[in-house]
Amino acid sequence: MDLIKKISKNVRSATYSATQIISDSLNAIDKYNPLIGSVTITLKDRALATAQHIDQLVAQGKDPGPLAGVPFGVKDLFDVKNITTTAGSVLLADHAPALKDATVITRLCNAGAVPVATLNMDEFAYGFVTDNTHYGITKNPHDTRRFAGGSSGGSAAAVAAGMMAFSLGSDTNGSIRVPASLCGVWGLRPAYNTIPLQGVYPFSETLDTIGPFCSSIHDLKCIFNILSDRKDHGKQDISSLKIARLKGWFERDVDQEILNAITEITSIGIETYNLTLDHIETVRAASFLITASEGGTLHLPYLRKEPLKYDPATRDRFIAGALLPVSTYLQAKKIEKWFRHYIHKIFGDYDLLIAPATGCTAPFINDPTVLVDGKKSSARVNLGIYTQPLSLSGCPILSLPLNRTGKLPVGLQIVAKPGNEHILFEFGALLEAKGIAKASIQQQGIYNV
Amino acid sequence: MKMADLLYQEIESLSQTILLDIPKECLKGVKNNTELLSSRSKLIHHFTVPTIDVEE
Repeated sequence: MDLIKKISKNVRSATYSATQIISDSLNAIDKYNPLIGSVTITLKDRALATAQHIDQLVAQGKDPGPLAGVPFGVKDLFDVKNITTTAGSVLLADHAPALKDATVITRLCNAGAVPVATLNMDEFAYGFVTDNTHYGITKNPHDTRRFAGGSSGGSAAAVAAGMMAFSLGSDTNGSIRVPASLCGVWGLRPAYNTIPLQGVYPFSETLDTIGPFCSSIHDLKCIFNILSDRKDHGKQDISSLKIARLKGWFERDVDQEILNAITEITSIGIETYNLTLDHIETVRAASFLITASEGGTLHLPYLRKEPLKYDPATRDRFIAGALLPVSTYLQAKKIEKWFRHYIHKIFGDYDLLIAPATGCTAPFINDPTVLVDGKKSSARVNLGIYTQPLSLSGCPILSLPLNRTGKLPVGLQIVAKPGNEHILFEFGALLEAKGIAKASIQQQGIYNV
Repeated sequence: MKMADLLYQEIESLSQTILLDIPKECLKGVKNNTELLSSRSKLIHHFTVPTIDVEE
């Protein structure tokens, strides 16, 4: 059964108390977090007090909500009331605590979910590995010699390690899709502007999105509906879907096993075509430049005052971004506008696009590289080589974990037209039912309930 | 003067226009990132953005 559904059902029926569930989650954090380093702050007092309140509501015959007693964590760029939002940096560590929760946390708490922890990330979300100078490296729960991916690595690893039922991350260039792929969990980059960003520390404001990590597609859909304040579309007929398999750029340097998995998906009876998108290298460059320029400009006040407090790798990228000429930024934005129009036209012919989320399994921490054009290149910069161009489309993108029993996880991206998240969920559920997609979760912690 | 020295000068000159003093220990990293961004900037400026037909 889906974990969130199971926990909520048992708490609402008083089969288990919320206090017991939350205690199990907190104990799992105490036990497993020293091994992987995904949690930055445990919200123990708040979590236990909230759980007790939920138990009181149940005892009084009141409904605590569809996520009653479900433990979750948030990347450390979401405001959590009375906690300082650091965005993974010591620069913000002495700032005043947040006065209130981020809007999405409020929505989840109103539905009965319980925040238990803040989670590690690359400093200011600028990276694909979660190698944080100040708060440490988040290690992959499936092999602690390897990266969890980033920048929302703490969020993906916490779910994969069984410490909490779901988590929230952010995705500007692939920061949900990359760690979801490497940690073997479901992730969603919603369409741009679908979910409110109030109380979320920005990175590149015209590309930033936030979304969930979960252990099943049903759970992902359930959390997305609450985050976006949307009603469930119900069962969708996807028998006449047309899918395009992205070729060219999206096959370069990709492990053969991942390509084989895409071939398997395209042979399950759904109409499938091959498609090579135009100018993807240019689109990726545009995304890279927009991020650098917007991020650098955002950080200029801090770069002037306290440049040496940054992780050097982050700082030097931000400074170079702040120096970019406006003509470059505007040309990149023109390309973004064209690409959105181009993708919109493509969705006149196809319903879904399919591509790898990463070209390989998680890189080793002592060899932080991936292949680009057959040459070893920085994983921190290039793990998102397949996610970054698709960010410019503004489309919702599902990160789907392939079922790879006995092997390290890896995932795919499924792209839909904005507003068609429900088709992504239906297609994900089909692949989960066929055993092609499955999260790789360490069955420990909250899975013992 | 070497090309690298010229680039450092250019970076320092540009940074002054945005009131940013780049500490000496950052210069090499900023130079490397500037070179990376410059190559990508050239790529996108070589690209003729197709006209968007609003009627489509």
